[in-house]
Amino acid sequence: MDELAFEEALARLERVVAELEQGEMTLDEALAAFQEGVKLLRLCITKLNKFEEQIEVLMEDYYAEAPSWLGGQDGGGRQK
Amino acid sequence: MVLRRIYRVGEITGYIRNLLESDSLLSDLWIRGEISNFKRHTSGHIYFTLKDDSSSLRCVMFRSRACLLDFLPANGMNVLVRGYISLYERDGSYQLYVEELEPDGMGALYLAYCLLKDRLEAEGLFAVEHKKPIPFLPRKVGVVTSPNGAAWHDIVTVIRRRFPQMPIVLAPAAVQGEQAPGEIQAALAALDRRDDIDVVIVGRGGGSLEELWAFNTEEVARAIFRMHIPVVSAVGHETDYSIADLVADLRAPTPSAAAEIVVPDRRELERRVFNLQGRLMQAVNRGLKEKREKLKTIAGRSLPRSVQSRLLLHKQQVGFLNRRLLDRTRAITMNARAKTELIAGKLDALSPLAILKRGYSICRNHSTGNIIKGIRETGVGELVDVILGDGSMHCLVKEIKEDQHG
Repeated sequence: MDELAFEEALARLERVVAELEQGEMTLDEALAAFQEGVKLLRLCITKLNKFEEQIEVLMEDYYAEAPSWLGGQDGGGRQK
Repeated sequence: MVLRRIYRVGEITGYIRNLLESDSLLSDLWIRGEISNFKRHTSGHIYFTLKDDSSSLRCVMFRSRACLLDFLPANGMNVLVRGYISLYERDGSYQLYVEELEPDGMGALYLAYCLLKDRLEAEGLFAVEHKKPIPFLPRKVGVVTSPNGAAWHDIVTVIRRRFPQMPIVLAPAAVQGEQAPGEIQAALAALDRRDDIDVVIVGRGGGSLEELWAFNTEEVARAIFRMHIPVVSAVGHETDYSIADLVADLRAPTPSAAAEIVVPDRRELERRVFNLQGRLMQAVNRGLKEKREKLKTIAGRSLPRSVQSRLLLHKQQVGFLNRRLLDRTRAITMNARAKTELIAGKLDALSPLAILKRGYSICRNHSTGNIIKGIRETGVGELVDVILGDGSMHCLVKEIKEDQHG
């Protein structure tokens, strides 16, 4: 279940909840669905919390070639 | 005296207009010139003046035509215009009614763009089957642009607003100038070598066709096409399409729009997750509650209905039996009492005392106490006790007589 992408987990969770809400399951099925739902929920939250704010700049290749933008204005689009 | 013919302004204006409109050259022609006084009316009509070194021509392009334009005309732009000349009677001025408008000024650059576009299209670089899906939630976003440009600023701002924790990897590249194509290509390749980046934005804030040149080169087009990571292009304005746009897996009109597409809104996701959490809890609780209530109804209704009725029957039977038992007992008792009384009565009747009350008496030998039942059991001169109902007499036998019939 860990390899599940966030949106897959979310979509599956939506399905599980919808099925549960239909209320046509046996008690055992409902409890199994609930357990799966809790797992998916935990997965979604874990995935959301795994992100770490960072900006990384790939430099090495560019210093070597002394890119034009290091020299000053290269007119990278409209300036704010 | 010469008779002067006097015309009204409208008459002569109409005459000139007819003259212009009946001319075969003026009714459909191409003109080359530079746009000035460009104005887009709220109605959607476009007004401008077409000029060259020596003269100018007023032009109007009606909305029905203007909305078909695939580029944004601007002052200073050299264009080719097709249309017809007619007279605007209110102003008494002739003008060009524009049917078609295409860029001309870039000349060689524009031609190169068209040729490359046709060639790459024929090769299938723009084909839908090569388009990779854009991930819903990337682990990291790669960006190829100039760190000095507005595009980089816009992308970071939008990503930080929508998903503050989203990691961004910038591969810097000049986005205009001669080195630009090579740097863009190297930056794309550098990002593609990594395995932690799920989507790449490549682009710059808008500009003229000249400024966007790098994004119309074969080098950049092929670099985008080679990418294993999905690429979103963000080149220029709403209206210009670069070749990079056509090769990219998805084209965003601006860098900000690209950031919006690439990164979901975290609060929205959290809202969805927590909403689902609530619904999950509610659904399972409601399910359990329903089951419990069902159980209660079953326990309270169908089971007792049979048992209860049977119980009632039993109770009734028991009551009935009890009553019968009581009745019977009472009957027996009553019977017994009656019998006892009867017997008692009989006894009473048999009691010698009762006989004595009726006038009979008992005679007993005084000394022995034996009851004398015949004359031979006593003799004259003997003492006897005669017992009566209310007492006894002590008597002397004086004479004995035997009954003849006895």
